[in-house]
Amino acid sequence: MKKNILYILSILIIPAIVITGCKKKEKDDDHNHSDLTGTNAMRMEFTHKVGAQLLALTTGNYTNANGDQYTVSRFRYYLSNFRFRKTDGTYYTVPSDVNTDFGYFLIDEDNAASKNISIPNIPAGDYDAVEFLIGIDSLRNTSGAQTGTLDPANGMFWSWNSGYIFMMFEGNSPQSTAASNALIFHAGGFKEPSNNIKKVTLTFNGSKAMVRNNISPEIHFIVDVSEIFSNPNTINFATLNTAHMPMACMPIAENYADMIRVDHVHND
Amino acid sequence: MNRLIKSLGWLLIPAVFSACSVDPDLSPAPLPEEKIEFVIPQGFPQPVYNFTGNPLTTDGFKLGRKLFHDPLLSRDNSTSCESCHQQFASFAHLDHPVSHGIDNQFGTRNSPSLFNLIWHPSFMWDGGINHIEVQPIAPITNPIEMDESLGNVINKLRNHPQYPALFKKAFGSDSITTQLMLRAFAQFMGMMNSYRSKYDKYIRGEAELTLQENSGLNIFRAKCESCHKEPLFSDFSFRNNGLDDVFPSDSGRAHITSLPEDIGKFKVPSLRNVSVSRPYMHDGRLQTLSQCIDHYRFHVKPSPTLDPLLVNGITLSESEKQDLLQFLNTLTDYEFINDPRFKPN
Ligand code: HEC
Ligand code: HEC
Repeated sequence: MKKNILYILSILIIPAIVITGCKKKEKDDDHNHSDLTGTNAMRMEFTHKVGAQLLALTTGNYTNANGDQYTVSRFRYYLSNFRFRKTDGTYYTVPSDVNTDFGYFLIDEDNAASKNISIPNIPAGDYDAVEFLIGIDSLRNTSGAQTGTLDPANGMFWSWNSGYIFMMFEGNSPQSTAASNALIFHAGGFKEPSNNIKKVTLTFNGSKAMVRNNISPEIHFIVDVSEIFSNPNTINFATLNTAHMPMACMPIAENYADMIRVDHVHND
Repeated sequence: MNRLIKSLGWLLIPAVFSACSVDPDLSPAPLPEEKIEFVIPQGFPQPVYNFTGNPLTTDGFKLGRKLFHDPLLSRDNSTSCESCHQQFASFAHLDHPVSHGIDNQFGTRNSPSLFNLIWHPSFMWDGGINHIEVQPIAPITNPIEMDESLGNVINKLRNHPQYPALFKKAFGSDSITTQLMLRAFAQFMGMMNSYRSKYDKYIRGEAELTLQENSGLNIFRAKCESCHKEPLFSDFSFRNNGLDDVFPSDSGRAHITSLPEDIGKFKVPSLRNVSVSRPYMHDGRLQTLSQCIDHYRFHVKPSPTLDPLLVNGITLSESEKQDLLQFLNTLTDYEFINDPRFKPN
């Protein structure tokens, strides 16, 4: 059975390689050759908003889709497993190595530097979409002590139920029935039936990120905190104000799956 | 007599080995504790954790040992891992039903004995921890155990007169990180292995069991083995053995999975060294092994998640119980609970 599959695959792949190989030559011929060799970094900037307003920790007052008011004191999340789609439909997958935190990012509203990330060594080419996870893949959740952005000392790790907290939202709401009117949503969980890793696929709205020897494009994302409390689940802070177990966080995770959108791309 | 010769043999064989390694110039023979090496004990399965990515070294092991015994890791320098995990009690907390931590606070669960941890697929009574390397984070940061943040622990280690050099020796690195600290712990705890009990020697053909112990082994295999599986004496599954019929304060495995079918299930504990690690069960409610056996004979409580094997309890005559108790004593590994390599130094 395995052999058969290999055989079929090779029938499919060998001509594919040959054909794309030829195509590439043609392309190279009618492009400036130096444009599409080498690598550069893909830079990404994340702007945190609540609806149309910029997020302001502790001072901003917001209203969720249920009409509940709230403030935000902490907002952090992990992004990982990036893949960039080229205009020819192929993908460049950012490699990962279990000994380093390369490709794993902890974005924290309270740490301006963390909102500008950069992934080096992206092959030159035209890219029109990106894919990533909000969260940490199950392998890294089960591989023991990690370091860098994945250091458990960053406070994004559950010691009693091993695994990373993928998204941490803390704040207050007069509607919250928890002690001190707190809102505490620590969402994680990588195992079925409460797998809260969310795969996000975003096109660049028709524009291209053109990685060249001398161009390191920047993708500008908007992350809308209000999405954590709506679509598909409208969160009522009187009944859901605290969640720090994988299953309890599922409605929040279903919501944050679409909190990130691409605003625009620069090629400079 | 025969036994005496045999056990003398056990003492002498290592002596012969170390005799061979003495240099002719009469330099002192290396202490046995200096040799840290992992070999899968005969008849044991492959471990879950085999030090991949964290190569075992004598310096790494010794660093882990120092960390394990060091109260520096707690908020007020009062409590070490050893406070609740004592070697003479097979690294359980003798006579403490539930853990007794910092500021004289009490937890809700019994400190389990610690050994053969590299064969555990998960840790804690509810199996919430999935890897030996991340296990120490829980007690260090637990407010009623050691109540310290990882960041503070790392700072204390970095500013300590000895630790920077010890980390450098163990890992060749100038910087102390959470990852390296946790790896040192895993090297030490991964070597805390128990495989030299009378039972083990019997299995390896090096010792004999008495008639009563032998009868106890047969009873064990008939009545207990399905959960307390040899040679580790646990299958590491989560089960409800009928201690309670409602679980208002500790739902066990369900605390991790949030699944109703896991309510009241706890990880099957190993029974190695059980005669030295009282009290028993996840909340330390039973004081003696006799009470544990009587639990299965007379007190199993029905509930929706009670293990199907125990719906009728376990039938044992008084003499079978006595034989079983004799057998359980053969699981005590005196070489393990006295092993000088695990003592603070
Ligand atoms: C205050 C007492 C206390 C201290 C201090 C303590 N422990 Fe524990 N330990 C416990 C208790 C109680 C459990 C069981 C907890 C549970 O099941 O939720 C446990 C469980 C464990 C387990 C899991 C064993 C198993 O069979 O699953 C390991 C390993 C362990 N501790 C290692 C350590 C290490 C390493 C330290 C020091 C960093 C430490 N402990 C400090 C009380 C303590
Ligand atoms: C259906 C599975 C099952 C069977 C069969 C079983 N046990 Fe257990 N045993 C458990 C579980 C689960 C626990 C832990 C329960 C808890 O603390 O909630 C346990 C705990 C124990 C303990 C306490 C150990 C400690 O360190 O706290 C002893 C002793 C024990 N069992 C002995 C026996 C003996 C002897 C038999 C046979 C007569 C037996 N068990 C049969 C599942 C089983």
